[in-house]
Amino acid sequence: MRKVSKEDLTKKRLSLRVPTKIPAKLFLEDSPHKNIYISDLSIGGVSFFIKEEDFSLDVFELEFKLAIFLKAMRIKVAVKNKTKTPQGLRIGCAFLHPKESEKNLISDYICKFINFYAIFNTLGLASFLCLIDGLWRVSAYFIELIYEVTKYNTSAYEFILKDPYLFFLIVYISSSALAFIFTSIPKTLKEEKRIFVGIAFLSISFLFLLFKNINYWKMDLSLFSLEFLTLLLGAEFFLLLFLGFSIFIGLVSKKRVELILSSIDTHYSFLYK
Amino acid sequence: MRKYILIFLMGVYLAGFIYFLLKLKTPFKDTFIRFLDKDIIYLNDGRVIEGWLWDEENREVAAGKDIRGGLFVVSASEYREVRKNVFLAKLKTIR
Repeated sequence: MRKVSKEDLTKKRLSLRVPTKIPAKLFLEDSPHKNIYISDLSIGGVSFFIKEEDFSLDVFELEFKLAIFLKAMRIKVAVKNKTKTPQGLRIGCAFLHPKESEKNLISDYICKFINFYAIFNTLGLASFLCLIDGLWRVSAYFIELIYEVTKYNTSAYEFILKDPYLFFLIVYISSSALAFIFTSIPKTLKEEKRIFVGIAFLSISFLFLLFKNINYWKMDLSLFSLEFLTLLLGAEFFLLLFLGFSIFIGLVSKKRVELILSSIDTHYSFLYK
Repeated sequence: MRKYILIFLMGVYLAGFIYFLLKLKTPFKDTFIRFLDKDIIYLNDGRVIEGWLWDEENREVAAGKDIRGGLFVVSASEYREVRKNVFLAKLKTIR
């Protein structure tokens, strides 16, 4: 039985290992040597099981694909441990000098597996929808402005000053655009704060949308057909709910984001730098 | 990646906006303004007249041109409601 060192335990805790069953080819001096299945994958390495009990290789190449449409990657690995299990011999390997693109692909695969990206995709989608919402509102505002300027010869400046709504619209669009940028997927722990700045911007958009939704219920909407009203109020209410939901998800995922990013950081700093 | 999506979106929006502004220098402007300030008169018998009301001092009648180009005059007792600049009013409400 292999003795488990304190260092090994630390590694296991930090490692974002995901269980997989990825077919891989073991290459020795550029020629295929054996077909195996990768049983778990982390940013730092892989493990697999083999039937035979005498596995003498120390360094070899492993070729595998993380998705059907991706190019197969061949990475040099070094055997770190061998453990006898009822399923066979478990070989734990560490990647040796993988390329930056390969590191990113593996990191992406793991993040997708643990649903890490879902938080940022939700926040991104919510801010993007707010941005679209803001753009049609500003278009409507400018149509009204053009009408007033053309029909009544009002100066555009006068019209803008008369109604400060354009200022609120600009704040709404800017905060949605900034939230869209700031909530993009972080790669390191240093970028973690950026996400919460993004959530703060998204909260401004939420307040604007909340105010608009309340206003719709107070307004006289008899000008519109019932179908149009259902569509408009339904879409606006859905956007408000989705925005609130994504902000909530972003806030409650703070600890998880921190943990995952610190784990990714630790791996990068220990294994690749 | 998101920066590029944002730049693309803003670029498309600005291009559309500039195209619209340039189009306003053509006869499209009149069509567009007429579309915005179309009025609707709801008659007592349930019929609806869509057109453009003339600004009359006399509030006893509603007179104007309908969308087919015909003229109309409706006395105050014949209509129950007049909605002016309907599309513009809709935009103002929902924007």
